[in-house]
Amino acid sequence: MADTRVQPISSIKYGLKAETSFGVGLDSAGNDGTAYLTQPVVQAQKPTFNILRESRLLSGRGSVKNAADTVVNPRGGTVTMPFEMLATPRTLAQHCLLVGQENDQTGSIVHEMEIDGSSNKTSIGGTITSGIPHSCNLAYYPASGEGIKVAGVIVSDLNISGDIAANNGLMTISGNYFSGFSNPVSTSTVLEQTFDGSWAARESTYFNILDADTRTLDVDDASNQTFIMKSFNFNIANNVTRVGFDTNGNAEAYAFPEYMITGDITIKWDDEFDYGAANNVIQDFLDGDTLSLAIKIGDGTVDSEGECNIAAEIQYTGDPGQDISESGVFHTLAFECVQNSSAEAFKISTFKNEAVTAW
Amino acid sequence: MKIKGENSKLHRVNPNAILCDVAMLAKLKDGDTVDIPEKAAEELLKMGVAKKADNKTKKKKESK
Repeated sequence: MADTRVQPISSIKYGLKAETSFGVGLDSAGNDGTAYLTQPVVQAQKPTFNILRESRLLSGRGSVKNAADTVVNPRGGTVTMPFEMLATPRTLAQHCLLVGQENDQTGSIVHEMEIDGSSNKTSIGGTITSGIPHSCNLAYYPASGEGIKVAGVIVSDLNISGDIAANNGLMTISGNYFSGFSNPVSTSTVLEQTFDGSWAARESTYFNILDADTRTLDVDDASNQTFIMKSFNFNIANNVTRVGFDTNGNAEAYAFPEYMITGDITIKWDDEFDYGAANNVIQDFLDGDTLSLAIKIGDGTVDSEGECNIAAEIQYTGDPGQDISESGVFHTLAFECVQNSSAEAFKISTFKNEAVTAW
Repeated sequence: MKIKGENSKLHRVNPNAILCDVAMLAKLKDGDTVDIPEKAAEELLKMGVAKKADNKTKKKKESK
């Protein structure tokens, strides 16, 4: 008789925990008792093993492929997994660190991640000191004995977005995890794992862009004009590639050849952002101007959970588009972030009273 | 432990996820000082949505 078991998608969870050695399982002796940080996703997506599989029709086999001629090689591959969730203080700070490989902690505790062309790691794979550089064990857990542990996990691309018409203005993060540890071995990426540790609970504080007291952007001849915002997107990609191989064919290191930040923002056409003299958004595109953008969720102090400051130096990548609705005409401004003298291309500050070593 | 609410920040706190009762949370949201269990107070302090208040107890003057 066939089995009647049903696997509801909501019964599958996944968690992250920072590694102390790159690509090494935190607890590889039997069941994994690590206290993973449960991630607040609605549906956990399965890790995908991207390995070599080639089925060939060899000469002399006739007109159909032969079972013996297929080549499969889990060495040298990657593992990827998409994610999407409402941003919480810990998840936002940790995922920014996982994609930007940079973190500065001040006070109690503001996490700052900046992309400036010099602070961010260009490679990881060596020693990990106090959580930097940052890679994780990822535990995908549908059921006892069926878990997948992926080692050496970082984030290859991260989208940070906010839209007053979506999720009631709550900021979301989405993107993809990446690992160069595709060959399962007992001390690293592994299948058929039971995770029996006490997983840390999800947080319940979020970032609401309707709390953004400060929203400013330079325009044409004016600085720090206040805009009325409909939505924003920032896409951060580190272009990670795996480098080399160990005795198991897993990655020896990752390289980050170029950090790219692109995005868009939709703001209202008004007397501060129009097509007229001094406030002309089209002129900014035609002149190739570099403009300072600031979005501060909260009062700008970043001293409590749910507060976050984003600062970026942007250049428009296309002619300002129009977003037309009953609220009037809005400008949709697509941009890329660039280092501008001493001003970082992109900087995000968030509050979470935990050191990265707790992640 | 006595704590004072930061009324511009407490609206972000999910009332179902905090260890103090709704009435106390409402007072904190108004910026009042309340005396709540230590575990709940420490959680709110850690979140940065409250500040420590004066926890000294006033001594009553002894009547002669």
